[in-house]
Amino acid sequence: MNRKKFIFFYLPICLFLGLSIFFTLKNFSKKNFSIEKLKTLTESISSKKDKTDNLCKYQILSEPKVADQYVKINFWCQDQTKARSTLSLNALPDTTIEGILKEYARIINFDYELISQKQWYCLVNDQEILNNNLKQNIKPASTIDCFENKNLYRYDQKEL
Amino acid sequence: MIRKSFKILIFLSIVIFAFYLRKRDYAQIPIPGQSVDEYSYSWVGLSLIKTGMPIGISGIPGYQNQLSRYINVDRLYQTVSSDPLTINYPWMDHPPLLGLITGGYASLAGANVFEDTTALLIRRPIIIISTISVALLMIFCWLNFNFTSCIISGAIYATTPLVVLSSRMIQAENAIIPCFLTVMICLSLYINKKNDLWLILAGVFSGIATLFKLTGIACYLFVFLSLLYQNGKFNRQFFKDLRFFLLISLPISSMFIFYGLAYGSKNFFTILFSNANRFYGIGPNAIIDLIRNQRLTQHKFLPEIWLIVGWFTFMISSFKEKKNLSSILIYISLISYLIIYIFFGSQPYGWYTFPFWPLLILSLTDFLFNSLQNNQNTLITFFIAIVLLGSNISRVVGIFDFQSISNFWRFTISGIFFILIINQL
Repeated sequence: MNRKKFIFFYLPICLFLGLSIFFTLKNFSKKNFSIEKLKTLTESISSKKDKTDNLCKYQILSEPKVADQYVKINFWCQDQTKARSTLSLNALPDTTIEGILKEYARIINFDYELISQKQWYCLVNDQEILNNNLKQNIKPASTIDCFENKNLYRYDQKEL
Repeated sequence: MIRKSFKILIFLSIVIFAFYLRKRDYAQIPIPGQSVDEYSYSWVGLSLIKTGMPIGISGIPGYQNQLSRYINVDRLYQTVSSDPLTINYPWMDHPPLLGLITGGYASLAGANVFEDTTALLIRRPIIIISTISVALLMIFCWLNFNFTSCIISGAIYATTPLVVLSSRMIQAENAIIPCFLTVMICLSLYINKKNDLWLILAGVFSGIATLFKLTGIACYLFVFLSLLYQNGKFNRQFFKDLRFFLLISLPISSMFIFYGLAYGSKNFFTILFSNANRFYGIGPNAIIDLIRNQRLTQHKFLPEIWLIVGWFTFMISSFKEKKNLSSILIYISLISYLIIYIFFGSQPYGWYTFPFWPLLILSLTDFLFNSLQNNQNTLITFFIAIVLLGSNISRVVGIFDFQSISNFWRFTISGIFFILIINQL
């Protein structure tokens, strides 16, 4: 084989390929990438993921190392089951009480409306969550407790 | 003709069996989420295809665009405790070829968002790539030893539990392995046949290896050392071959630069240098850790006797004069990757060591082949056989069940050792 001849044809092909990659990616990303698309990719729920209506079925097994920048979310069900999670506030796009519960619903994949439809009784730092404080930003190191009915208590404590 | 067909049939049977083992429960073990890199690679590919922007998990300092998110793919927050994921873009930790394969496959299979890239989906391409590695390892042995060695090495590599489990993980090392083995095959053919086509292919696959991860540069080092061995010194022919090889391989590797520059030179070089300054986690005990602890992930160990014995044979071969080309190439391949492993450092995670494993099995095959064919090293060969046999027996028979055959074991093994040492003296 004539090596010089081979390289003579090979190098321009590689250069063409490299430049094609450069310009194609530059234009393609310019036209197609946006913050909305980034949100869609990272925050959309898979259509194949199982959806639950049992709010005590799944919990988030995580203890984020974020000093006091966390929020604890506990769901207490009538059948004595519970789901206790800790979320990093830094990873939540909306840090209002409503935003946090919506994000939690997205991660677990249940319908956020279930909380109001099934009349869950929710507290933030032992204060009842009502429509007027739903839009309030949460304080760091807060705890949200949601009970399937008002008469329930935290099972790992003696009383509410 | 019938004999050849029979050989090919056995060859294919091992490859199919390797595929079957790798495919069985592939989405369950290793547990999805134990290494989030598996998702990251696929997300890079998927986001590149969907938006033109590589988006993945990093955490390396230097990225301008960073966000922390809970992405509950495979319900990893319900199975594996995990912190929120640090998402960076444009992701430049590694070249994007593996991501394009796994993410591209996921995209073709209907994945649209990151949560769609489940282990069940994204691990399929890597299983095929890993099965190809088994076939390539066997081809190397068939070309350089004989058919029996090809079958033995293939059977070991196809069935070794740790290798099977590791072969399911989406890690760049699993894609570098077939490239490295192809380069080894091509180099052995080039040295034997002096046909430039094999040097061209070695160059192409060395270039491709670096597009999976920069540690693929081990292929370059391997070719450099092999050509040096072939020529005996830094003579004119050596430089001629090396220059030709580099003119083939470097333009392929440089595709990563064209790719990176498309997202801005500042971002690309910042991440490249940030990567170079990574924490040297393998530490000064890297070698003993390599021999003693065969890891699947950072914290999952599975001591694998075939690999430990592979290190024995590598060390033995370091002291012996190597007479044939195949022994030299295997030795050089291990040294090349060892140099890269120590140089790049980073963490002692399982996947950084994956490329050693086929090479160690080749080293073991080479040792056994040469010892048995030349009737040499009887004592060491017997010792290795006992280590392998004993370890594998202990995997299936508990210590109490073993008592029934313990007398047979102790008298036979010690007796044979006694006879062998008498013969050696």
